[in-house]
Amino acid sequence: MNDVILKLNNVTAGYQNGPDILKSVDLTLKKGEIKCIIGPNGAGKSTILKAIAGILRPRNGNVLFNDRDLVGLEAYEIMRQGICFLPQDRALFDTLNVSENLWMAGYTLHDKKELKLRIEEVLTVFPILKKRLSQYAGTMSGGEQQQLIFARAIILKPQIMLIDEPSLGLAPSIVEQAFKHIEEIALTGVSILLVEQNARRGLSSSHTGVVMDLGQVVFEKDAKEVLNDERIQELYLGKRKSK
Amino acid sequence: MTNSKYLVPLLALLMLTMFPLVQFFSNQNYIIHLLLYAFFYIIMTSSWNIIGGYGGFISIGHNAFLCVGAYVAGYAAVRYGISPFYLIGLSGLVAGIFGFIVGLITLRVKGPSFIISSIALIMIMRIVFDHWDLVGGASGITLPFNSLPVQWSKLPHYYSFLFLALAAIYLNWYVRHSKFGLALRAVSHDETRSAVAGINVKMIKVTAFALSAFLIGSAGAVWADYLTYIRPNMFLVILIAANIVLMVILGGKGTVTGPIVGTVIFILFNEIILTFFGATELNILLTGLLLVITLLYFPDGIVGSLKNKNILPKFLDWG
Repeated sequence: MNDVILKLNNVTAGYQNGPDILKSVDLTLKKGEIKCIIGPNGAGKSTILKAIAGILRPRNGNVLFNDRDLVGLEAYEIMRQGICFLPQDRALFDTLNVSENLWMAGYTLHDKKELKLRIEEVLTVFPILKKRLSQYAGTMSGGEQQQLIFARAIILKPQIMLIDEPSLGLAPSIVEQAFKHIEEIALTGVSILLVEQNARRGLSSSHTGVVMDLGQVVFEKDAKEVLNDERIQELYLGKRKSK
Repeated sequence: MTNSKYLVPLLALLMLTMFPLVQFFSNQNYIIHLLLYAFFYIIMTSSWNIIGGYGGFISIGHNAFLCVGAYVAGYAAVRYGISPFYLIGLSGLVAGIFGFIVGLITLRVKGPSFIISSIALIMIMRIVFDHWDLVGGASGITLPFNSLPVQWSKLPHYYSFLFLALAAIYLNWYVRHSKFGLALRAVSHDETRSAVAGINVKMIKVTAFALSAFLIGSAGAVWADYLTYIRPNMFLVILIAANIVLMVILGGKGTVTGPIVGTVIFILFNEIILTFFGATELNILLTGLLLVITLLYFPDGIVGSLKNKNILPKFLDWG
């Protein structure tokens, strides 16, 4: 639990010619840790994930993954190093079927036999998918899509998973299921950096919580402490001010 | 079951290979012309389908590569006296490299911006070729005739086009079923998602673009020899590219047999109308009508829609 796997130093980033969204952010992620980032809209939560995944190139600072700097690498190169990014709006290819989606997940694996084995492996973890191999991903229910997303994510056995809003647009029972998957994946030694609007739910599955506002990390604490912090409860968790 | 899948295409191929034998009995040059014209368009539609169908980049400037191929062969034929048939590969290669470079620039944008950039390509090339004295400027290049008797003079083109059409169809089939094609379809759906799945998005797009340019360029060499006269305004007009796009959409974008079906129906229909109503402009009007009506009932093109309804004949179902 103590070895740092990902370290952000002084990262500043923004979109195109716009203003800086992230302002000198420092962040660390340990092996096997689930870290949840919360904060109001526009705080730069999703932007952090995009900057790590290489979809957005930081303007300043560095992102160290196992002591190697990732800044300047293309998204596909970063992904090949073992960082898996699940974007906000479902990381699936709706126009491909389930089987093609799984093959696509293992795109960087050149050993076909190995990939076939791994696909069979994840199909035993998510048996529902086995019956749906030829169905288009876009026509499946939210819960099934969620399973396919996680099945895809673990095929490459990444070291870090960046997850943007796992609960967005899902029924409450499926949200529970999603967080169960996240906790299980973390138990296998994968580090998870999570952004969640549903802060209470996100924090209760995490080890540590990070509060962001206006592009900066306000503070970072144990997830339980963040949940119980009165200031945070008032500001972000929707508890009424007691007078 | 598998029999009917292979039987019909093989039979058709056999008949097309043997067809020129009718020349021993009567002169059917016009039908041979029609067939090789269909092969020619099948090469272009099948190649276009790689980037336009699987990749989702609707290019209305693919005739630029036809032009490059034709001019490479035409120039070499006149300047160095080499038969264009020896230059099929070279023409394709030059067109492919040209496509690669163009792709690096234009494939950064997508949707309407890409379509406009592809039209801009042919407009720029039109200006360049019209003023490029080395290749004859606006008056073009005249190639030497082949010395075969008129009965047999079309056959070299006929078989070259047949061969290239087979190659284009095979390439189309291969892309549909390969990892490369899967990545290409993923990219057409969402570039960001593809990038985070580990795909080198730019390379995939540009390679697909260059591949489709390669085969069209090869066809250009044969086409130049067939026409014996090449001039910028024969190639660099939107009509050719528009025909390609319409044929593919009619047959079914992103399917292996769609471009073939679309091309055959398009050319056949045009020919029937010309036969019945003569060379008025009615054929253009009615072809437009055909397209509208077909797409009303087959929104994904003929092959695509039949496949969605699971009533596609086995011999057309190649993915």
